Amino acid sequence: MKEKPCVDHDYCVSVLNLIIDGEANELEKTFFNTHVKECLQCSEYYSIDQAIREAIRKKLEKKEAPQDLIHLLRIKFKESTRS
Amino acid sequence: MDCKKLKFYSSEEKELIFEDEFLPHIHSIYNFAYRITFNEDDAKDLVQETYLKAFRFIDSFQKGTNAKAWLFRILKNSFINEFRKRSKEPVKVDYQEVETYYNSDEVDQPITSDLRIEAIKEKIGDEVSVAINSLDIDFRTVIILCDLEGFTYEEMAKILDIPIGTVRSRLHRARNLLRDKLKVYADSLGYT
Ligand SMILES: [Zn+2]
Repeated sequence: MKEKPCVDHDYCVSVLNLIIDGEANELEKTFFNTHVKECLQCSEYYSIDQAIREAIRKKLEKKEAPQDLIHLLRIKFKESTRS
Repeated sequence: MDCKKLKFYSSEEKELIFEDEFLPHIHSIYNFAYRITFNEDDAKDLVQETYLKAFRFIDSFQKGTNAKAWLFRILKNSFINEFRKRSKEPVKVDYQEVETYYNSDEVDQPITSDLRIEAIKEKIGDEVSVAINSLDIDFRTVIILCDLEGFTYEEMAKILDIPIGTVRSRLHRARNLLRDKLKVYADSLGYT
């Protein structure tokens, strides 16, 4: 199951993080696309981080602001424009 | 804030800014306030304070620019100034149970990588909230701003008043901590 070990995994991790954050440049994207396909260690690392990010987006409960708070803010705003 | 660009809005303009640019972010703002205070009343107070400050400084906000980041920055400053000292400590979570759960999935099981990742995904989904809440507030903050709210490094740097490099390294440390907490690291194929 294991392939040859990743040559510079620390560098890979830093690029993988940029990819996950949507902040990678073209060079880093190219590196990612070519390397990750053939590196089991990196593709696993990426899959897990992606899974975590996905879970944060989908499973983390999103609290909605209570209506009474919104109502109160509207009143306070009206007051502030009058002064 | 750039004083040269300061201009005074009419009441009608203010009304539009409030309704179209400030209010649409109320749920994100409230959700973030709740995630850093762990308390609905504190979150409400914090949001109220944030918006009151936004009203007071509305003339220094440039119409049509990034209201969401602007509001998050005010919220973060309000939190640091007044709430941090009195907000409750995050609930400490006992990971023993979680660990036992993850470790029960021994590595020598004949299971393919894709299937294993599917299994990990399922576990992560169940535990992600607990794991995030147990993160130190600075780490929790960058994870929420990036992953939940979709802010860029640059926006986060402005919101948090820290250099982009710090945003990046803090975010990456936060991700590592999350992996550890979710025990996926130990669960992976034994790489270190
Ligand atoms: Zn690699």
